[in-house]
Amino acid sequence: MNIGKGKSRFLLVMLLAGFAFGTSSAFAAIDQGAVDKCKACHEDEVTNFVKGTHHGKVFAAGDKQNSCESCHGPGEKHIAAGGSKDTIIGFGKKSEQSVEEQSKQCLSCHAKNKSVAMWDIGKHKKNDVSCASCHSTHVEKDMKAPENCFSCHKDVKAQAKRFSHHPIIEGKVSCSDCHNPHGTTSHGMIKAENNNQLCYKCHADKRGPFVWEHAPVEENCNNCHVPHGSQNMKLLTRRAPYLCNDCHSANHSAGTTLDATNGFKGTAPTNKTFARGCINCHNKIHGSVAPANTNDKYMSGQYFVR
Amino acid sequence: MKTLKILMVAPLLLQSSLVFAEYKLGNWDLTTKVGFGAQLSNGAEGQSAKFAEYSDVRDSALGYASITGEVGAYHLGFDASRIGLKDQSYVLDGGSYGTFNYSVYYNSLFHKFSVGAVSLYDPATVGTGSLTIPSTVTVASPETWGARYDYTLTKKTYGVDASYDTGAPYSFGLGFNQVKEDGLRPLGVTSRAASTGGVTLPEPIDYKTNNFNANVGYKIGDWATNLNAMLSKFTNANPTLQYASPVAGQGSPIAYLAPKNDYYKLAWQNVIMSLPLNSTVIAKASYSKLSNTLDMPRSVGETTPGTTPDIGSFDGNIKYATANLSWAANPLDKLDTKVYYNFLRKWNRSTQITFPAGPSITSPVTNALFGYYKHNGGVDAGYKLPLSTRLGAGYEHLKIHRDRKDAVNTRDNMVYAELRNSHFDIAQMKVKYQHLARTGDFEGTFPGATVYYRSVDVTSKKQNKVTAGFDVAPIEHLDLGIEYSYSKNQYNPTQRLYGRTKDTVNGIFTDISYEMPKLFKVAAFAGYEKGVIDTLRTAGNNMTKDPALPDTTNAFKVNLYENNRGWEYGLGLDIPVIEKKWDVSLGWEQYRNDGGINFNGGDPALAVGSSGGPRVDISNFNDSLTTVVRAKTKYQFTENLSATANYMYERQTYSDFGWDGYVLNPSGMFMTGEYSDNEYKAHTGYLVAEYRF
Repeated sequence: MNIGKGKSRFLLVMLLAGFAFGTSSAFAAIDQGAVDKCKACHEDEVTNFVKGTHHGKVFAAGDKQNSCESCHGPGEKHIAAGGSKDTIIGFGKKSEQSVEEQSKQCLSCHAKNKSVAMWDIGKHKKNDVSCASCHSTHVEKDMKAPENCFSCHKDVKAQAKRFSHHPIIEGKVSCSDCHNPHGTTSHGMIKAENNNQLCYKCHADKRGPFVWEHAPVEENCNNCHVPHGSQNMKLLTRRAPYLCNDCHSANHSAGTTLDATNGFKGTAPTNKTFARGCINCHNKIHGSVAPANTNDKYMSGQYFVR
Repeated sequence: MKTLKILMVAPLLLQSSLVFAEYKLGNWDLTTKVGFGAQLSNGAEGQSAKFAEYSDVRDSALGYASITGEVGAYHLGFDASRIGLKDQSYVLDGGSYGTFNYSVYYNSLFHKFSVGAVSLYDPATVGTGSLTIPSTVTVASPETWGARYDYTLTKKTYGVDASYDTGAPYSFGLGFNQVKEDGLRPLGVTSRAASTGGVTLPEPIDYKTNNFNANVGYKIGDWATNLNAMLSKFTNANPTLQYASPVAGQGSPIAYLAPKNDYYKLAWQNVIMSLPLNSTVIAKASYSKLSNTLDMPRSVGETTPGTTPDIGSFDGNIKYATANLSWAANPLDKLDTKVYYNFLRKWNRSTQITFPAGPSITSPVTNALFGYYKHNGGVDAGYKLPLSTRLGAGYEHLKIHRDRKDAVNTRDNMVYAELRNSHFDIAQMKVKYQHLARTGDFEGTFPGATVYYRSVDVTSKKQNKVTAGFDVAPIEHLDLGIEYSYSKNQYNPTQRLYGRTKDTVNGIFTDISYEMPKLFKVAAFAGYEKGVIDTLRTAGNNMTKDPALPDTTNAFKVNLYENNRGWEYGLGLDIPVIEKKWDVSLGWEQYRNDGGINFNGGDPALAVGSSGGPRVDISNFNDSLTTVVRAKTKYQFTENLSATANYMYERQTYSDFGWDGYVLNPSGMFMTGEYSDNEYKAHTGYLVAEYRF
């Protein structure tokens, strides 16, 4: 086991300390009588509710109903009407209530959460995404699973499975590591002011400051990279050298259009084309702290080769 | 596909949060799950880096565990997944609902780039900051190269978060984590004083980043404000890498690696809800500073060093400031609006150094300090029409001003319109059109130079985008979704310049599922995307010739048409053979990419493929095909005990004109095989017994 004895002991101590900490009930239990009224018709839902997502949590807000009615509203009319949907607050696609009404019900408790403070400004609200579109109110659900987002964002799902991708489907990067689905003021609902500030959180080695900056890199990582996945190596928007040629058309004899003859198997292999193309030598493309060498530009930080 | 191995395991792990059997420990209601078994693979490490890019697939024991407990308002959870493996993780969290929460975590992520890399450097020096070539090595004979290693990075994160938030006026949060990253990464540098020579070095990675954040919030009524502070310190134990140049007489140059840095940020956020017109106002601002102090080297150890001013040290000093104001309102019952403004500025106040001219660069060189600012504002509006239809429209303006001599300003004006309908319970549809017009200063000339090429990121362009989606559930348990997207960029067609002229992307993605409860669930997905990039270039190195002029001998233009077509499709079948007792799941998926480049132009009087002559089309360009076949079965022996067996067959083929026929020592280059092992065929499986109590 690679975690190390010190860390494993720390986790064990924390676990035991956690058990020792909780000693008494701080709030009322479920109003079993009220719940049982619903259980007569909705046995599975009630069973899941009692054990699931809102087990205990809903009552911490001081709600006095302590039952299904906490979210679904009074049930007398619903029972009297034989269970018609328009007499009860429902959630999801088949609800008789509007998306706003559904979300309002959830926000009556959850609006205090900082992560949903900007719900009103976010794209999901604008696009009629309700809380129940993603969350399960009865059954516990892993909200970090990418499938939650992929069901709507089918193009991103395809990108995440491409040849080069962040470890999203491997479960090591979740959508919510970078995005706040509850709304942000930034584009793409990312958890930073701009793309670079977001990427630098994990890729601290790319922050600099550098003596030699590569301006498009500093301005926007997405000038060269596709964050979710790409058919090109290293999440690039285009394969090198053609990506580099999109700006550096005349540099370094690159005016010559590189073709099939310039691969390993071609008649004129060149390191500008085969393998990583320009990156074979210009690997410090994110920035360099090496000095310039005006005696020998191929040994110079200025050209990102050092 | 190697990446799907975790998907096989993930459902098992994700269920750890589900609540099934419970028991009491003192006052605690506990749910515990423990899984133990083994994973096997015939294509374990050593076959292909792509196969094991993010997953530890060694033949090994496989274990996971979870505990969730509650007593009153207190809750506690512990999850351990892939225990002992390189991609293991542990999370302990707990707290009291509505009062406080804490989390202690450890996560290990590894990224494998290449296995079995070969280098001419002394194996004993690989992983150190100084690479030497043993006397037994003949640099031009890779068969004498003795170093064998994998390019792999391992990133271990451990930390703790705690928050106190009762909904009462004040809330607090604290967090700390440390990220340690180590391993080897390929670093390409030049090997000698000529552009044709390069060498790939095993770059030793030994990074450490300490991150600390704290926030305090205040909320009363419909007003909430929050102040957040973040500190981050990045250090690199290997700031340089010295290596013996494989080219005779070139000495031992130095490559300079990722610089250390200190970063701090202060951010303020203010939200006021329930204002007139049913509106919400959000105001945000942040200030951050990134700095470092580095010893400024006088040379990179080359045999013909340039003249570097003796400035002692380089002081990196970059500051960012952002501000945002957003107002969302419902002025009418059926009308929702949003108005927003964002500002971002980057100042670069780092040390500026002027390097005197030399034979290779005949003018003095000064490092440019790149800074910029962005003004971004816009308005969105949506109106509810009858039959649950929403019509939306918006406008956005973005101006970027850069401290960059070739491209100072760009201005984007974007408009969009969209229509959504969800009138029918069984169907929802959406369609959106967006048009962007970008004008940039960069159009062929800038002070001190006349050029005839464009930089794609800053040039003028017109962009049109269309997206459409349709989801329908015509009968119960049948769901169908289709999404279409189209995007086209046209780069200033009024001015003839070399470089990218146009690109388009067309994509369609669909999925369908049908379930016969208690009998089976079948799901299928398919997607297709085609991207085309058109570029104008020259057949020879003639980029100084005005492209508006007609072709002349030895100076012919070439049109480059790059296309990439990607497919994905798959089928899945879940069968509860015996309900709540025995489940079987089967799946088949393929992911395919087929690319190529066609050329048109070049001087027909010259030989095909020669400089200036017609170009040779590229047919194998990022071509890959990945096939996955999987089968899984789970048997529930008792309420507490179950067993899961999983089998997966994966195969990936890869062909690209730039990688096929890879050799370690092409003319002037000394490479290591980095990123070249992309093909694999493997059988993998695991067997896990799980006990819940």
